[in-house]
Amino acid sequence: MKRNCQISRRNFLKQSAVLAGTALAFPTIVPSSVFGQNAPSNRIGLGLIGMGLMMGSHQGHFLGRDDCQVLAVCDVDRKKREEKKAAIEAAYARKKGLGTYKGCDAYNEFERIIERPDIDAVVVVTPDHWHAPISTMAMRHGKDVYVQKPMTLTIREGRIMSNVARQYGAILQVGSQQRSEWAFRKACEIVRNGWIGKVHTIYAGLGEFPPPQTLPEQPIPDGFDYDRWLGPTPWYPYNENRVKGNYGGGWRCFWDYGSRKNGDWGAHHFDIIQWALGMDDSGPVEFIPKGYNGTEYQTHIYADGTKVLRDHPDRKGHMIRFLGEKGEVCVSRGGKLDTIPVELKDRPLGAGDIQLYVSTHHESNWIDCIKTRKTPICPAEIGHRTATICHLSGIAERLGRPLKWDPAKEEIIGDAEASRWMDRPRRAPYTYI
Amino acid sequence: MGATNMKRIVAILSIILLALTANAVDFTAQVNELIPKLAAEDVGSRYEPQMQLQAIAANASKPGHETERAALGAVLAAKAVDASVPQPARVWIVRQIEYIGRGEAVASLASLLGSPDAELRECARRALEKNPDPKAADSLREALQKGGDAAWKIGLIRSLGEKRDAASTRLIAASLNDPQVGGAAAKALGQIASPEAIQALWSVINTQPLAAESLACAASRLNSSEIAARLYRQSNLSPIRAAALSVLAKTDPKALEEALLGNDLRLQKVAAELAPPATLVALLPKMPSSAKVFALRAIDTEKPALDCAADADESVRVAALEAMLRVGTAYSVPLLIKAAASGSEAEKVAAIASLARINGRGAAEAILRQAAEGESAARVAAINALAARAAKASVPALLQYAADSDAAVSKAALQAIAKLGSDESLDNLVKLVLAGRAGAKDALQAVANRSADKSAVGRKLAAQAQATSGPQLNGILEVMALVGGTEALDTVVKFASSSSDDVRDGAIRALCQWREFVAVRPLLEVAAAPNVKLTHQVLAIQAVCRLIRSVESEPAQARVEAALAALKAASRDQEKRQVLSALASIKDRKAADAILKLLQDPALKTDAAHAALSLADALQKSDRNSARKLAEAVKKADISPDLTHKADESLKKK
Repeated sequence: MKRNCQISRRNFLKQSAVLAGTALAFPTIVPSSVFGQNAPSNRIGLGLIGMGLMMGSHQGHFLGRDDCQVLAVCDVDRKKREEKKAAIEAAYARKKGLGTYKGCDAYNEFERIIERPDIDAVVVVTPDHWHAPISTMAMRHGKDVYVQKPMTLTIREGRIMSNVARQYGAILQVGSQQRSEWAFRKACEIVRNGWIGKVHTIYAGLGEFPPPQTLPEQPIPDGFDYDRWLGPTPWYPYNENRVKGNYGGGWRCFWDYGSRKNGDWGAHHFDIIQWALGMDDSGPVEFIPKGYNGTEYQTHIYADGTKVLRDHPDRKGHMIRFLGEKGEVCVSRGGKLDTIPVELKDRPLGAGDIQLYVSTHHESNWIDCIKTRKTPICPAEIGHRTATICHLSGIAERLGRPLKWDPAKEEIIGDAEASRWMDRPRRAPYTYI
Repeated sequence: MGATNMKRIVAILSIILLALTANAVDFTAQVNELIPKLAAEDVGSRYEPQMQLQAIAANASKPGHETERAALGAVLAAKAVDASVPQPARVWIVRQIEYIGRGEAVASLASLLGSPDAELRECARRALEKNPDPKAADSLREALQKGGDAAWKIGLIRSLGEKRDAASTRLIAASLNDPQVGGAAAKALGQIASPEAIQALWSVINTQPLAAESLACAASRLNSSEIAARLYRQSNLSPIRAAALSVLAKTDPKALEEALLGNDLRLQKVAAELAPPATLVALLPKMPSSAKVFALRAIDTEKPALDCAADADESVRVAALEAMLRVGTAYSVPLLIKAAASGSEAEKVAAIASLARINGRGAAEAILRQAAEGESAARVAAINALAARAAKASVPALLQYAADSDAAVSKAALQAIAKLGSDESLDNLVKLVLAGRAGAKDALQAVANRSADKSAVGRKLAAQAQATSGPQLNGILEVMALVGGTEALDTVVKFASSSSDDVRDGAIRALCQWREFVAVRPLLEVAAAPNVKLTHQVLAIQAVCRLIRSVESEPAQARVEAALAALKAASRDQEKRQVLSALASIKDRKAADAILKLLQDPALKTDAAHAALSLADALQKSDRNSARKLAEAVKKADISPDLTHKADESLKKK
C-alpha cells in the first residue's frame, strides 16, 4: 500500500498564529456595510474549496457579484483547480473589460486559503467527509463559511461545528437552499400555523443510490492528491469510481464519505420537514430502518407521533407530502405547491401568524449576513440537527435495527454499539476537527 | 461460602461458558466460511461477504446480547492476529472490531499496533480508539512511547486525546514543539484538559499555533472561567478571545462590558448574544454604533428600541426599527409609521417589515388610528401595513378611506381592499367604480375573482343594471366585465343587442373587456354581424385575440377555432394580421396545421408566413417536427427573400 502523506499544517498556519501578533478581527468590509456606507472598494474576499460539479453554480453566482471577489480556489485535482483558476480569471477579465486578469490563486491544500488574511470567507463544496474539518478550521481562524449539505459526516462533528460557529462569532450557512424557495417556505408556514391541523404523516422522496462496491486498485492519476482526497477517512486503494462526483453515485454511494441518500436528498427534505414542524432545535426520537420487522419504508418518528416515511409512493408527484387532520400540503422545487383545501396556498399571513425567515436567494442571504452579522437562514445549529437525522437514519440502516434518540441530550438511548457511530476515528495526519 | 452456593455459582458459570463456547463455535464457523471470500481474487466479489460479516457483527452487538457480542468479539480478535488469514480479510475483520470490540479484543489489537502492515496497524489504532476498555488506552500509550513516523504518532496522539487519557499527558506534551506533530499534540491536550495538560499548553502559548485554540476548547469543555479569563486577557487574536468570552460571559460581567464598549466587532457580537438583556440596556448609551446594532437584536424590552430610533447612526436606527417587530407595542407604531413614510430606504424597509408583524399590546389598534387621520404619507403607510397584516377586520374602514378626498389615501385603501376585501365589499366597490375612483376597478376585479359565488354577484349587478340607465349603466356593464360569470355575461350580451346606440355601444365595449374565454362566442357574433360598426368589429376582434393569447388553459382546438372565425369576420388587413399573430401564440400542432393551410391563401400568405416562423420558433423545443414543417412551408412558398432567409435560419436551429 503506497501513501503520500503530507504533514505540514503548522507551516500553513504559521502566519496566522500568535507569533505574528496580528489581531484577526472581522473583515474590513463589515464596518462600512454595518454602518451603511457601502464603499465600492469593499469586497468580500472568497476562497472556493472543492471545484467539482456542485461548485459550478456557486462559482457563477459569486463571480457575478460586485461585492465579492474570488481570490483563490482549492482542489486536490491539479487539472480541475488550474482550469477553474483560468476560467475565473477569464471571467474577471471580461467583467472588468481587460485583456487578461491575474488575481486568483490555485492551491492543493485548503489551509493555504485559510491562512490568507485577505480571504474573509470560504465556500466548502467538497465531499461530505471534509465539510466539518475545513469549516471548523476556517471559523477558528476568523472566516465565515458557506458549506454544502449535509453539514457533517458524523453527529459529533455537527455539535462541534455549531458550538464553534457560536463561540467564534462566525456566519455559517448550510447549503440547504430549499429554505430560500418560496414554495417550501409557504408549505412550512401552512403547517406551522396549523392550517391543516395536526400533521400525522409525512412522505419524503429521496430515491436510491446503487450499493457501494469493493473496487480494484487503479493507478492514481497524475496531479491527483488521493491521500488528501481521502483525508480523515480510512485508506482504500484508488479507483476512479470511488472518487468521482456525480449525482447518480460515485463517492456518494460509500458510507465512508456520507450517509448515502439520507445525506443527499434526505438532507434537503428532512430539513424542510424539521422547519415545518418547528423542530429546528430538536429532532425525532425514533428511527426504524426499512425491512425491520416488515417495515415497508424507512421511518423516523417525532415525540408527538408524527411519522416521516421515506420514498412512500403516494406523494402525488411531489417531493414532500404533509398529511394533517384537516388537510394536506404537497411541495416540490420549481415553485410547485398544492394544498387541500386549495385556497390555503394563497392564504396570506396575518400579523399574529407564524411567519418564517424570508430569504429569496440562498447565497445572497449568506453574503448579506456576512455584512450585517445577522443569523442566516440555515445556520450551523439547524444544519447539525438536520444532518443528525440523516446520520441516525444511516446508522439504523447499517445496523439493521431501530434506534431511540434523545434530541435534548443528543444521545442514542440504550445501544452502546450504535452510539459508537456518533463519530468516527480519523486517519492521520487529517485529524483536524 | 457454603457448598450449595458454590455449586450454584459453578452451574451458572458452566451455563455461561457453554453459551459462550456454543456461540464461539457458531461464529467461528461463520467467520471461517467468509474469510476466503473476503480475500477473493475478484475484488468486486468481496462486497457481499463484507456485508454478511458486518450484519453478523451488527446482530451480535444488539442491546441485551452481550454474551453473543463477546463471543464474536473473541473470534474476530483471534482471526485478526492469525497470520494465516489473508490480509484483506484481516483488515475487514478489524474494521468490525472497531464497531463492536471490547476487552476481549484489546490484546489482539495491541499486538497489531506493531504489525509491519501499515493498513492493519491503522485499523487496529482506530479500533482501540473506539474500544471502551481501559486497557485500550494503555496499548495506545505504549505504542506512542515506542515512536514511529509523524503520521503514526499523530494518529496515536489523536486516539489518546479522544479517549481523554490523562495518563498520556506528559508523553504527548513532549511533542508540543515538534513541527509536524505539535499541532495534534496541542489538540489532544485540549481534549484531555487535565491540570497538567492545561499547564503544558500554557507553556507553549507563544510557540505552538494551536495552543490557544486548544485552550479555548478546554475552557469550553470544562466551563472553566479561569482558563477563559487568562486566554481572553493574553491573546490578541480576535477569534480566540471570542471563544474565551463565550465561556467567560457567564461569570465575568466586566469582560462582557469591555467587549461591548470596545471596537472589536466579533467580540461585540458574541457579547451581545450572551449578555443578560438588562446589561445590554444599561450599557447601550455608551456602546459604539456597531455594538448597539448587535444589542438591539438581543433586547427584550421596548424602551431601548424607542430611544435608539433617533440615533445619529442610520444602522442603529434601522436596528431599532427591526427590534420593534419583536418588542414593540403601541408606542412603537408612530415611529414606525414615520420611518415607513419618510425614512431612508433602509429605514423604510425595516419599518414596513415591522409594521407587518408587530404584535405587542395596542399595536394593531395604533395602526388603525394612524390610518384614520393625520398626514397623507403616514396614513398611506398605515393603510399599507393593514394590508400586509391581512387585517380583514379593517375592510369597512378601508372602504371609507377609499372614498377619501386624498388621492394617495384612496389609492392605498383600494390596493388594500384588493387584497383583503370579500363579497361584502362589492356593493361599495361598485359605487366607487361608478364614481370613477382611480384604482376601484382593479380592486373590484381582485375581490370578484376571489368570490366563491360569482353567480350571486352577477345577479346583483344584473338587477342594478336593469334599474339604471345612461353613463351609470355603462359603468355597471364595465364592472360586470371585471366580475365575470355567466349571469353577468348573459346580461351584457343582452344589452349588446339593444336598440339604443348608446346602450349597445357601452355593452359591446364592456364585452370587449371580458377576461373569460366564454366571451369569445358573443364577441365573434358582434364582429361577424351584418352592418356592424367598424369600431365594434375592431374592438371585438382585438378582444378575441387577447383571450386567445391570455387564456392558455383553454384547449388549443377551441383557441384555433376562435382565431379562424375571427379571421373570417375581419374585414381589414390590420385585424387579420392581429388574428394571425394570436394564432401563432398557440404553441400547439393544431395551430401549426391551421397556419400551414393559410399559407395557401394568396391574400394572407405574407402575414401567415410571419406567423408561421414565429410559431416555429416557439415550437423548437416542444414540437420540432411541426416547427420544421412550418419553416419548410414558408421556404417553399418563396414569398420574399427576407422570409426565405428567415425560414432557412429557423431550419438551421438545433
